[in-house]
Amino acid sequence: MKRLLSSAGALAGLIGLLVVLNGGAPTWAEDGVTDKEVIIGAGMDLTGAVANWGVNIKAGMEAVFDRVNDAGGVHGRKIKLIAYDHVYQPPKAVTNAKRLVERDKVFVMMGHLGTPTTKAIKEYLEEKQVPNIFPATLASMWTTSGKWHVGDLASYADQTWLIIDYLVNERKIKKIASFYQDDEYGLDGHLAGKARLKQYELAYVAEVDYKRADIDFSSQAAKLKESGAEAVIVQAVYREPPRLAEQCHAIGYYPQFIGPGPIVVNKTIELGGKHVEGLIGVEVYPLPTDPGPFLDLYRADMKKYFPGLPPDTTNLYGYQKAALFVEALQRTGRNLTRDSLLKSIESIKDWDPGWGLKYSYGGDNRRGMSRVGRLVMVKNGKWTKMSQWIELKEGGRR
Amino acid sequence: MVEILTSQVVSGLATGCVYALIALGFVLIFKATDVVNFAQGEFVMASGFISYTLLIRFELPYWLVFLATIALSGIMGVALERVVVRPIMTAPIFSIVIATIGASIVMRSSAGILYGYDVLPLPTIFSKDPIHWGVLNFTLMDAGVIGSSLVIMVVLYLFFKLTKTGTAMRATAQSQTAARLMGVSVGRIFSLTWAISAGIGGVAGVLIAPIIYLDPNLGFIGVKAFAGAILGGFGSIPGAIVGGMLLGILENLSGYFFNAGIKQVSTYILLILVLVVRPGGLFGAAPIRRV
Amino acid sequence: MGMKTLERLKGLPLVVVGVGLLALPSFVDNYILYVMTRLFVYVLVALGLNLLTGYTGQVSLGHAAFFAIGAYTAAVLAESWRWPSVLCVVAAAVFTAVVGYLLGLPCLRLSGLYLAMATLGFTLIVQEMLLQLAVITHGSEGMKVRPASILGFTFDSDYRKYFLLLVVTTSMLIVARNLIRGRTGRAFLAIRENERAAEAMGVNLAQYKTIAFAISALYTGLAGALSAFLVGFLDPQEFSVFLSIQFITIIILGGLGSLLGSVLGAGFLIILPELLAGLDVWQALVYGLLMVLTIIFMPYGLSGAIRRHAYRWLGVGVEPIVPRRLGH
Repeated sequence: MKRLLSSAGALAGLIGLLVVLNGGAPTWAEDGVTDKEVIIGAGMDLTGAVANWGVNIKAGMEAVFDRVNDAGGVHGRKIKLIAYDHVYQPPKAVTNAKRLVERDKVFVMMGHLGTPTTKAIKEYLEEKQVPNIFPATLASMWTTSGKWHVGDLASYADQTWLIIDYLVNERKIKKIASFYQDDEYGLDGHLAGKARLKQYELAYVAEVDYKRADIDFSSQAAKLKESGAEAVIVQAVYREPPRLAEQCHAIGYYPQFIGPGPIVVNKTIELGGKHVEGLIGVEVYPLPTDPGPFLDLYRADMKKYFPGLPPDTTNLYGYQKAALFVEALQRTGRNLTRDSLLKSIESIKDWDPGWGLKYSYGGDNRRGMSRVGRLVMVKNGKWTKMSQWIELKEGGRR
Repeated sequence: MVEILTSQVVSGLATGCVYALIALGFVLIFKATDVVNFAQGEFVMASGFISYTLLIRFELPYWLVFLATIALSGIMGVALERVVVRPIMTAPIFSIVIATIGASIVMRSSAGILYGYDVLPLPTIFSKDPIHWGVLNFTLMDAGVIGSSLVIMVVLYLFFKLTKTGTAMRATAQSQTAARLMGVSVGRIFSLTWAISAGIGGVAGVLIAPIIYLDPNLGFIGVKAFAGAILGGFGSIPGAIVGGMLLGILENLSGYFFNAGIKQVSTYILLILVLVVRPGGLFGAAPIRRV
Repeated sequence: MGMKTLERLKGLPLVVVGVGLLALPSFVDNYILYVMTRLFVYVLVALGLNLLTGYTGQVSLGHAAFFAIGAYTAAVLAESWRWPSVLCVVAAAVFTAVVGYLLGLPCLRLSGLYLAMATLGFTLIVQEMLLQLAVITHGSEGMKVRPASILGFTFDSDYRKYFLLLVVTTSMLIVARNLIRGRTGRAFLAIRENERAAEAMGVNLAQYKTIAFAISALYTGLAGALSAFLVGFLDPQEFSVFLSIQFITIIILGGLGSLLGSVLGAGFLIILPELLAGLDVWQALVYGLLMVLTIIFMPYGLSGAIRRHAYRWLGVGVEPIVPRRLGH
């Protein structure tokens, strides 16, 4: 028995070495496109920590594809989305990417969710030359990572620069504090804000972090109050700012709360009630309840294909990605390759799906609509416009 | 400074009370059956969703919802015991623990499928407006959570001390064989224990969900409560209560003096220190070596 | 069929599996190969954890931390210090073993739940350190790791990684097997069954318990280091308490105190989600149900069930003995 095991091991080693030396050379061919179909892939969080985003983004994308397919597809090709659950874990994201690329032979990766999970598959997609289209992460890196990565909306860095400019120039506020989630998501905006403040020869008067699962922010509230900050930038998702505001108000501290896109959802108001009155956010695309032909279409599609999911910023986020992708497919025509698709995305200039906002790409520009945003404020329990859409400066962490 | 510190302590105590309630659930089941129920946090989550459904969809009055939630949560506890735990009662304890982990996955994903993964606000009767009372700064919410938790703890204490069933439960925890010989139906006691634990989890859910909002991952709060129970000494009821409360206060103070990272680990640093000095936790006896 | 023939046939499944594993890469795509390499990594962890929990009876929820320490040590040595890959992996495993030994010392006084909780705390503290020591670990930004190479030969394809992991895992499996059949293994088992009696028989409790911690950490650190090169990206949030719980789930589902169990349990945890991947949001529900059902119908784990059936029907092997309680 023992001898058998050892010899099996030795054999394994020997044969292993032989096969390794012969090596498997990577081969590459255009995948995922047939006469009748184009298959695209996505890694989503469907059951984990950010499942709400995963489930909704996927539904939003599928709503567009279902409508397009019902009308016969794009240039005769129906769009098929295959999405696997990566539970927001990088190793699992790699597994899913390999499955999508090598087994399901997807044409592109589309709307891949999460910063760490998308980072984990970045090199792999580049090596396989699979375009990473509109990943569902607004970290600043996806607009500057070269040919294979294409972003869509303004990054947290860009948005935070707008916030700082607004506070310093228009509100004349110098005492600014940062309340941020201590992961890649919160740090992107936090560090960009720090960099922008430096250009004004200012610095945060307090930097207060929290963990994604934290439930009590009274210690953060106390620190913010002691710093005397007049404005607090919340680099957070929508569940933290209401609770933070509540606990700040509980100790008699009423600063101006302001934050990037993810807080501009109706849920913030639903959760925070009167405590979030006066909260300012940066909007990078309209609210799902806004008027406009594109949003009417969106609401109709969601109602038809996903009656169980109410219109929400999260599924609109996926919806606009898919609409933009379909536009790129339209422009590409019958001759669909990865290169021709990327070229037609680059050809998109001032394209408005019907909501008053324009996407623009071109040359090395991988930023899409990322140069627009506007400030909105909670007034009488409703997000209310404070400004028109404005050009954003290209922010950065440095 | 004093005001800020006291408000830290009060709000930490409120969170700590909820930890203590969940920790109590852990300890009761452990004392009776030797099982660590990893689905304890999921009882909290599920009862949050139950009360949400009753309040929002069926629009029942709050007091009725409160009672119904505790009852339904208790039924859930019995169901889990009967379906998952009872069939493998003679199996290694660790297998049972893993079964409860499996059950927690099932409960969490069921909630996700039924209600989605978005956070939901659960209404409460307690106001979140600040109250200033000398050096004390707190909200009615904090006071309500602390008050309700204390009431539940006193009720439980009286139940165990004064009622026949309570005595039978304590007897079973001491020695199943002896209890059985005295005519106690151990099977029924087990079910009752699970019902009470889940019921307490239900109270915790109704209290905490309005504060931290409702979502399928709410149950992860159970890990912290578990730490509280161990800190106090697993198997000791006063230990669970003090451990849970201590943890809530400690978290807030360390979050105030340091950062979120230290806040997160301070509990466990203290826990390891306590365990090294007192291997059975603050209130627990040192584990008995069975020869 | 006589007893002897059956005993001889025992090796047959082993040969079949061995040949199957060697032939596998010729028939499957890179996706399967990658899943298999992840399986091997988890088998290594499960072997390590089983040596500690299954054989010595010490419950650990600290193995996500050992896994992280192995992964980050290898990654930092390879990326920042440019050490050769082999040295990185060896150093990572040895360093993790040292950490394991040191953790084992204060844990000597603890057992059962208290030990589980203290080690769980260790996992959280290490995870937090990965975030705080951003100068070394790059914090929440995560860390990129380039493929390992030995003497200019790079393990960059799934094909090559598969064979690397196959060889390492098989070797470590044999090492574990020899270990538990030997003096050390008998001491471990004696400690699990009855500490006092073991002590009376001359087993140095403190020494063997800390050694068990060190060996267990070595396996897990090795797995972590290999995983770093395999996945190519490290993110602190990956090494959470839930990973530790996953690890313990593997060995209990697979079978405590059984090498076969470590392998089967890892298979359950890695392969089952892949089979369920098409189920969308229902995936976790079905996975949880299968987990509960497996335990209800096989309370002694997968290997326990296999051994029991082998014993009952074929008369091969022995009826498995697993203690009802651990660490008392």
